[in-house]
Amino acid sequence: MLSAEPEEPLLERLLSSDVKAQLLVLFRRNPGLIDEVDGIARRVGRKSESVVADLRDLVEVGVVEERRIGGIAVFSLNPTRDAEVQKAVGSYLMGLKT
Amino acid sequence: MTSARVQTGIPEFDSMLRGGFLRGDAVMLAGSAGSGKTTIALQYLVNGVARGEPGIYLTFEQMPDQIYRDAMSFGWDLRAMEKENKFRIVCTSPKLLVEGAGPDELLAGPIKQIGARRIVVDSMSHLSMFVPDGDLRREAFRMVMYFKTSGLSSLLLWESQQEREHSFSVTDMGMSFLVDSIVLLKFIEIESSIRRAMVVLKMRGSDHDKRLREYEITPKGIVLEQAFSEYQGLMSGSPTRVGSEKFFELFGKASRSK
Repeated sequence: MLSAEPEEPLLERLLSSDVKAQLLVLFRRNPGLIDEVDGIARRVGRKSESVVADLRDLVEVGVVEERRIGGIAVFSLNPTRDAEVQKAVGSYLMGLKT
Repeated sequence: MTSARVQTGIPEFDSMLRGGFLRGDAVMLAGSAGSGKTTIALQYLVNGVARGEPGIYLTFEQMPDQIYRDAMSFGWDLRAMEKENKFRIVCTSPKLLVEGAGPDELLAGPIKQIGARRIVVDSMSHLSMFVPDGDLRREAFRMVMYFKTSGLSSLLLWESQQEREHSFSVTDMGMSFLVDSIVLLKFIEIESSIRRAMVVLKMRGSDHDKRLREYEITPKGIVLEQAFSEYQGLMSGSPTRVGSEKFFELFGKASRSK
């Protein structure tokens, strides 16, 4: 189900930092990735503290989902929500051209 | 009817195994970096899909997008197989497998989603870096038993050091006893060229080819060549020609000149 959030702020929110953009690329290119914060940070060449805020924001948007494995918070792509977001953003961008 | 053997789909390799690995067995595939472990592992899963046996590639270090790319170079479209629910790549940290409820929390979902029958773990040596000393054997045992009770035939990759002396060590952690079969991949220097050799060191419950076979990584995947019959001391990494042939080489010319 699409969020009521307008597409422009959503786009700005998704790309508000380089780190967030790198995280988006990471999850989209590697849909089978399920990892804790430290593992995700390592995979984009960073430390946990520099990705955790952006990661949580992606969870709030719904593109990334969070669950617990053995009490450890793990993150993975939500493919359904990600597809919705991509479609919404794509439509918005196409609308800008006309 | 389910076959008692799990074919790799590499014909000469399956011949070495007298038809394939035994179903449900845990197989260790050991070799140094660049020996072709990942290629063989992917070929094992891809051929499994072709035989109606969906598979999971569990990776700790290598990223899925690189695995997709490398597989495509051999003509294996893993993304398409995932869309058809015949294949899954699961990329995670070893810590998540050994803590909490163990492998089940991470793998139960993918196993059920595709009805997995095969799994590759890349790699057990990476797992050993994240498990406290003394715990590896226990955690590896847990993992192997989980695969067996889940009906999976597993291929466990191990990055071994390329030994230069006569002795060779598949693992330093005493894991050899945990697995049902061990296949060793080895680089060999012959006449200033590096060639690849494969040998089945162990196969519980089945006969197997005891010879070292040369193999190549081709654009279609792994292809096995003839057994090395002209050389001895192959396991040392620097073999010599078999004695009788060397004799003729040294003295053949002299006798012909007389």
